[in-house]
Amino acid sequence: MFGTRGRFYFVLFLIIISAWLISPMFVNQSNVPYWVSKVIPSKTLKLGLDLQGGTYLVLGVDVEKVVLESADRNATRLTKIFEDKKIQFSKVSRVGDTGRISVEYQNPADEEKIKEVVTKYTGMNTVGSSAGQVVFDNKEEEVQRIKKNVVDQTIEAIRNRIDEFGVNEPILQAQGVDRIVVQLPGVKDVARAKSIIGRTARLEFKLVAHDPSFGKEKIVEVINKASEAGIIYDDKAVYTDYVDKLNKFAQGKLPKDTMVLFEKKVDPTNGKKFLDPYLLGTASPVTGDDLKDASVGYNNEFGEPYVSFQMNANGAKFMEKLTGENIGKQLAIVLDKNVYSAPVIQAKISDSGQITLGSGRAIQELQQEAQDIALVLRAGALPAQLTFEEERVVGPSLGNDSIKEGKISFILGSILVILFMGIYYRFTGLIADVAVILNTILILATVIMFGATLTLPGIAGLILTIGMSVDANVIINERVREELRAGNSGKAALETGYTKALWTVVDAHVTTAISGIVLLQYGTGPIKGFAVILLIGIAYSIFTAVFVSKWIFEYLMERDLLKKISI
Amino acid sequence: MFMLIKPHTNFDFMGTRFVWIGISAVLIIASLILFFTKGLNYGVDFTGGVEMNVRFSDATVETQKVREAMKAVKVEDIQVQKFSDSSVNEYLIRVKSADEKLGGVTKDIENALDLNFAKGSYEVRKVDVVGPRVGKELKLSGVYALIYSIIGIFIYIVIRFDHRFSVGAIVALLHDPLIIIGLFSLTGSKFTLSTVAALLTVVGYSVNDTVVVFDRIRETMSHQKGTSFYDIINRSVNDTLSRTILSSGVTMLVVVMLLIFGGATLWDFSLALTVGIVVGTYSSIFIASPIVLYLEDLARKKAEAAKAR
Repeated sequence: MFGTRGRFYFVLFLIIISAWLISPMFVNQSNVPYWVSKVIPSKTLKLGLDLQGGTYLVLGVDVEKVVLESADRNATRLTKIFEDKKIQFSKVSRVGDTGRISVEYQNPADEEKIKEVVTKYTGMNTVGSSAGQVVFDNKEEEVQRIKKNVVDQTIEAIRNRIDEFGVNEPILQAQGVDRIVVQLPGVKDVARAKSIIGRTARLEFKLVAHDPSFGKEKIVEVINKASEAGIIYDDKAVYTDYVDKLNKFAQGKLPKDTMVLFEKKVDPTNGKKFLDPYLLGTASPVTGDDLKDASVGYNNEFGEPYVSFQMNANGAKFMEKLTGENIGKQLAIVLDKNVYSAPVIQAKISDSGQITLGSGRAIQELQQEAQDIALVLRAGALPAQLTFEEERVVGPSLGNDSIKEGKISFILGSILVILFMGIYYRFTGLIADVAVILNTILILATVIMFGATLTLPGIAGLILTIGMSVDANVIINERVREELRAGNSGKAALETGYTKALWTVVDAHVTTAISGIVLLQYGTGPIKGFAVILLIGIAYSIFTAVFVSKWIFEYLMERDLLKKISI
Repeated sequence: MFMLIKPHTNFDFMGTRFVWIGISAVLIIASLILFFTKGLNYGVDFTGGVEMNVRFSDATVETQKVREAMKAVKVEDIQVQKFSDSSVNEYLIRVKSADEKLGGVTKDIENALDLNFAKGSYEVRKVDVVGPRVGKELKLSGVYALIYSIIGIFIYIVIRFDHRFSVGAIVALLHDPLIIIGLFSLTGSKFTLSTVAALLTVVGYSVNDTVVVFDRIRETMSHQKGTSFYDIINRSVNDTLSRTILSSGVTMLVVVMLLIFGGATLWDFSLALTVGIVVGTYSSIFIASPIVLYLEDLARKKAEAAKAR
């Protein structure tokens, strides 16, 4: 095509461009003369969490539960619609632990009407019917949509929280249907990060049920029965799971439309933690959805921190109605199913309130908790419960050590290879060295250009690629030597050598590339970084060994700069 | 001109083929036995649990002392192990557990450290917590990844060469990771996500040597029609010998640098790679080609038997 001169200049151009692209790696951005900062690109190599230090979390989102909750909501809605439309039914309920809804009725004539209403208002399909009962289920797309929505909303909520927490360039991604990967560069206080991310932050206001015939002893009785049935709260149990199980068990054993929730307390005499039960109404007339703002305040007397919050106009309206109608009763402030306090309603409240955090703990601890609660309330509740499935933290010192170790291995490896090639193949070796070096800077330039991250396994990949790229050159050079031995002239030996070696080089690289592609699919985090570098490296290795080194040869020979091949 | 292997060397690789196949068969069987009896020392990636690297600035802190401190952590099985690198006083604290509530354990460990050692005298360098669900999935997907890449390479070889070659390549391909797994089991080296990544790379890299030899066999076949297959293979292996040793040697050079200077984090990875390159080079000379020869012999005998009838 371009002739030997054109190709030679193309190689020079490539070297210059990629050297320019990777130049920010070698200068300290904040400490260069002004003109230099104008000349070099601003994009520099992004380091993975394993090199710069930081936290990598994989969160599980309980999407199944959200599907169940959506079924519950539909059931409640349908009950109301049936009542409004005066359709006779005996029961609308969710079917076990599935997203299905069953509608029971007495009059067979109503069946068609029921089906029509359910499909119209919920989009659910009939999946089965027997005498006096129809069962409905969501369409598969609807289930997928609900799940995807939940994950997207969760990501959004977590992003808001992290932004308030102050992290540079956090990365949040959905993984599969029910997972979220969170990467927090530089964050070392994982416990705090986790408590901020993981808190569901569902704020609810519930009236305390005062049933004179159902005192505290009776509540305790139900709880004890539950623990006999194996529903126990201990170190290993997750509080919200325990509460859910307990209330499911207690159904029918408690007064109608009530549930049990607890306040976590500390016994001042012995410092032991215990759960203090409350009997609350199941309805939450006001929730945190209508919150405008939340902040930390301090109790004047002891300087104890609390969280104060303001409702928006909508929330204030509901709150006014609720408190106005229930003066003298206790109103529980519930956050993530924990009762924080249950003050007696003295007067009508509209738009603001407080969450007190109890006592018996160090003031510092309370203060941090108050700050965290205020933060998550401001940022919004999570639509689903999260579990921490994977957590990897790399301290900054380990990151620094890894960078150093990676650099040393890389530099020593390259020097050894370059020396070896130069000595073993002499001048041809030097050309191969040019190819190998170009290969390395091309990889780095590509990584920078596409904003990919370099991880420690990525550095290993880079080093391995040097080996691979040399391999390609060795295959070719050995071939050329053979052709020379067979008595061919320099130019002919070069030509046949390259042609014959081409497919061998491609074959050899493709097999490694296949492994690389699989690795890219399989790997997570740092491993993925390895696969990316390996694949980029393979592509450039073929290019530099098969084309670049040959172009340099041809240019030199044509210009009579090279009389005899020194190989 | 430097030359590692003189031109026209002619080792009779094929003559000793049964010795090598025998040795490999023994090694593979030993590896399988080790794998099924002793098993692998799976890292937290696969077992689920917690791993923490803690470094003490105080050199007088000893394993026993750290172990004492960890008694305050209420989990069933907590291990403390000192790093082999003697220039630093660093420990690996490990909890193997299938418990869902692992997150709390790291906090408990840090609290226990705070109770027993002055704040600032130790540093948590690394924490890995893997839930049981993720652990199981990673293990499974690791196996799948290995299978997929072997299938992928097999398909490529079938397309590029005929079936005799494919079988030889695939045997060499299975040979290498199996022996590495055996070695990891024998030495009790930790088997992690990085090890799987290295295994996959070895699978790709080792077949690369094999392919180079096969390419040459095919080429030699095309212009030496009268020569016996035995001689063609021998000739081709010899012709490519210097390339095989050179490129493996050079790659080895860089990987050994990784092994020596790459630090603890890359150790499992570099070890698997180093062993893989040695085994891979061996298998492409001594295993892949002899199998091609064997299959060719088999085919010829069959053909002759058919003719005789």
